[in-house]
Amino acid sequence: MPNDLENRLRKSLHKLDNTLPQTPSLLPLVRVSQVKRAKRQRLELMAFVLLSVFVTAGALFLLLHNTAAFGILQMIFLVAVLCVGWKNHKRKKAGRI
Amino acid sequence: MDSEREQIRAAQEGNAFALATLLEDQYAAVYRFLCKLTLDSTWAADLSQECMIRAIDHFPAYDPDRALLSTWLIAIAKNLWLDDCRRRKRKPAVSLEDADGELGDFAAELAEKDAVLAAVGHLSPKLRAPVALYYGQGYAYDEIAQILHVPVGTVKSRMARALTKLRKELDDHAE
Repeated sequence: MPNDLENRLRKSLHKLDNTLPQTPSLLPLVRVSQVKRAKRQRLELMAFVLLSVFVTAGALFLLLHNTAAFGILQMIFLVAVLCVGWKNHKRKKAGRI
Repeated sequence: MDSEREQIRAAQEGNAFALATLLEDQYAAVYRFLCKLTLDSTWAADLSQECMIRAIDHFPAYDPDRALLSTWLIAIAKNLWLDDCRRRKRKPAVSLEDADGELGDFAAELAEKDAVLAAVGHLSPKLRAPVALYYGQGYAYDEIAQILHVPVGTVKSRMARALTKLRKELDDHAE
């Protein structure tokens, strides 16, 4: 009896293999996606570099003006930002698509 | 196999033609799998296109050592279908009834005539996915576990529950 049901399931589901899809040309989609991705990556890199420069400059300024505690705090903040960014990047890479 | 690997490498390095060819080769398989999940050709066609767009966007993250391209695409298609089910709050059985007026929907017409497919259409998405993957696509339990991101034991228990429900519904239908 179980085998009968399993055979019927296989047979019925395989009937759906007769559906013929019209495969669209994906080349235009790929090209548009590549352009968009390149633009997004450039923007992300720019934002990351700007943030790093700003925080490092702030930390150096504070260190040079003998406010070492604030400078160290800002350096810690910079490292934390970098760690969170890296972790987020790894999570996105391994995550559900 | 090696030529596919080379094509994948080329696609990940930015060769648009290689990527388009790879995905076009898999399009029919993805569409047929989605037909088995949705039991609705139109819905399956929409999801197939969305699946290709998502695959194109995430292709640099694809790791050929972890899964075959076909398995990766099937996993994306399944995720899209589950998301769509949640978004539309559409019960699986509704798609069959809604398809009444859609002329030429091969899958929906078939599902109406075939008692087994109609019963599959009444399964919840969680139970229907392993059934479509095992009986429709011929995947092994460990591959299904990889696609569904659940342990093998969960796949087996879902399959057993699905078969029990199907058996009960088909028995009721026969009486």
